[in-house]
Amino acid sequence: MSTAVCTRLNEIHIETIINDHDTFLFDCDGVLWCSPTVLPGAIELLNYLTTLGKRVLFVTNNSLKTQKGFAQWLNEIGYQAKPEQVICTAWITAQYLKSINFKGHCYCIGMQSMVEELGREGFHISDGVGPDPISPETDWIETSTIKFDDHINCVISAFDIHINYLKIVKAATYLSRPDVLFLATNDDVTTPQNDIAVLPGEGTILASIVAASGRSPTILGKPRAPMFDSIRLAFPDVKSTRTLMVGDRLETDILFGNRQGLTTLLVFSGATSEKKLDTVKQAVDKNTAEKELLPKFCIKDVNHLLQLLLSRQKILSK
Amino acid sequence: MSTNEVCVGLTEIHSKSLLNNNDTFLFDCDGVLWNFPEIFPGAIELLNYLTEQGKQLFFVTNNSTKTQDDYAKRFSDIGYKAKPEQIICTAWLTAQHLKSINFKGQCYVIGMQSMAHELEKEGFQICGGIGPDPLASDANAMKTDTLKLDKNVDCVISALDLHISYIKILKAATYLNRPNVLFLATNDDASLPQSDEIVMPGAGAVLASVAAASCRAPTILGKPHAAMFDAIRLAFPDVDPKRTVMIGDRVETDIAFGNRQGATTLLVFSGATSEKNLNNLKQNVEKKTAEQDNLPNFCVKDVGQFLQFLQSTEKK
Repeated sequence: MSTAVCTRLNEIHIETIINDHDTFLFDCDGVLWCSPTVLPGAIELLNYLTTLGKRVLFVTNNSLKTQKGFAQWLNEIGYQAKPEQVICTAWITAQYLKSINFKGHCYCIGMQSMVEELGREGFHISDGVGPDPISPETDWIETSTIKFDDHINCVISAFDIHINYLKIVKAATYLSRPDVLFLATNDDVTTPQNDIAVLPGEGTILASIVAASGRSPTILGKPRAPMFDSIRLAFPDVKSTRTLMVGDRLETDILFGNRQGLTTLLVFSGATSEKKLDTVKQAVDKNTAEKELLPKFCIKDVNHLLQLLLSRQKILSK
Repeated sequence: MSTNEVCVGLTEIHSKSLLNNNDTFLFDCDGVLWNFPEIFPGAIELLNYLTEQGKQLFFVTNNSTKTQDDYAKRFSDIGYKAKPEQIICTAWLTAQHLKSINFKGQCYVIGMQSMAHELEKEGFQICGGIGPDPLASDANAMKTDTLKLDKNVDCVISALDLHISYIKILKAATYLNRPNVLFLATNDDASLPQSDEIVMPGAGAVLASVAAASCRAPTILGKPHAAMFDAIRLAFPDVDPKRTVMIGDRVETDIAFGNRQGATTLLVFSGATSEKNLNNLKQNVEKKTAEQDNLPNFCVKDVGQFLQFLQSTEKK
């Protein structure tokens, strides 16, 4: 296998892409859509690969939706997805707890999706989801008035737009007790950007809990292994050497794919521009960045991949 | 006084030496003088004793939730007549720092009312960040089209904020993404001193989220960084670090601060650091896995004990 990196994907590679890969993993934000806009060719590509008999899975660090929620969204935009095709962090958190035979109660800083996915596997979130308000006039917190649950033995950090000081107090206090597990869905510091504002990601919430508690979590999402472990558990016939990972972020999607031995394809439609890739490539050459951040292939966007596949189809049918 | 001595258990003789060889005494407050509202036995008496001996006293605290006036009043209420200028607190320090760099412009300040008070006292304008800025309780997504962002923000300041929220972190990170926006932090203590089992996040926990979201590193003003001592020397040019004692309870802030400035450092075991913690630290320093700067010259049970040593030397 060639060890070349950052190769611009074109017609000469497309046979390999199609013939050597059975499973196609897609990151979503920045690859298939830039919320709320679905990117051109995205749905057509998913449908095309499906008609070719390829397994298509969606691999996202986004903890805001359940498997069902994501599948519903994909159905609405034209791709008939089954929930089990969605490998999202709310779901893998439940899978992880199941895999370690977890018993007990969770304090989860996160959204309703976490409650639903954990609930599906019988795990109980006692507190942490939704607002936990502090009085607007407060200039001090009387700790004796805070209600703590004595049965919490796991703290989970996920994306939470209702994060506040009181939740960090609770999370850090639970984490100071012996034998309390600490999990995080992911540590992306920003969510996909828009032009108006920098949108803090789960990583920023996690950073405050880590600082306050002095503890490090087990992080489940890309680029870490639990995501692929969940895929292999759910789809035992998936072979890493015959899997392609399509993503837009080097430090999550591409690093994840490379570490798992997958073929990696970077698209420039999301978080990473050609210029940024070049900068990272130079850093790798100087040994100041990890080689595994570099994708095997890169392409402008999924539409270009689709066009290459359709051109190939035309040639084959002549 | 040998600066090579570390972790020496304070005795009467050392105490007499400290008194004779030093003109200025710097005190951290939480864990040293009090665990508010509990004032440690001998604390106020020690402050008054040193003042009577003609010593110059300063209170050097990373706590950004009170003003110089707030602290002066607290001291006065508990029996020590402190002047506001003796209080070196981070809300005041932030204003001094902005003054020293001739700052012009508006600040977005994640912090409590004390920050607004000290900054506005020096004529600095705050365009937001103080107090609650929450999302609707039924919100399940962040909608940026209704967001109100100020066009003219030149500085983002991160301090302890009980009203920290997602929107505030978003605003701070967005402002910090613009060119030429200064990024300051009062301090980065991870947690507040607590007597019970509850962990209270410090300014460092708030800062961690703003730094992560913005991918920027701030200029940190509080201990152990130098800005605090610079502010003292600016206001009181005759303060000589070689004739200064720093008394504190946290090695990575108080003691590191004192040592780096060339002062003599005295650790008390009445707050964040136990004797066991100090022994572990000493071993780690020997194994070169921790900084030498964090080791105090002297250590003592508490300020009450220090006072007793001083008073018994006097009797002799």
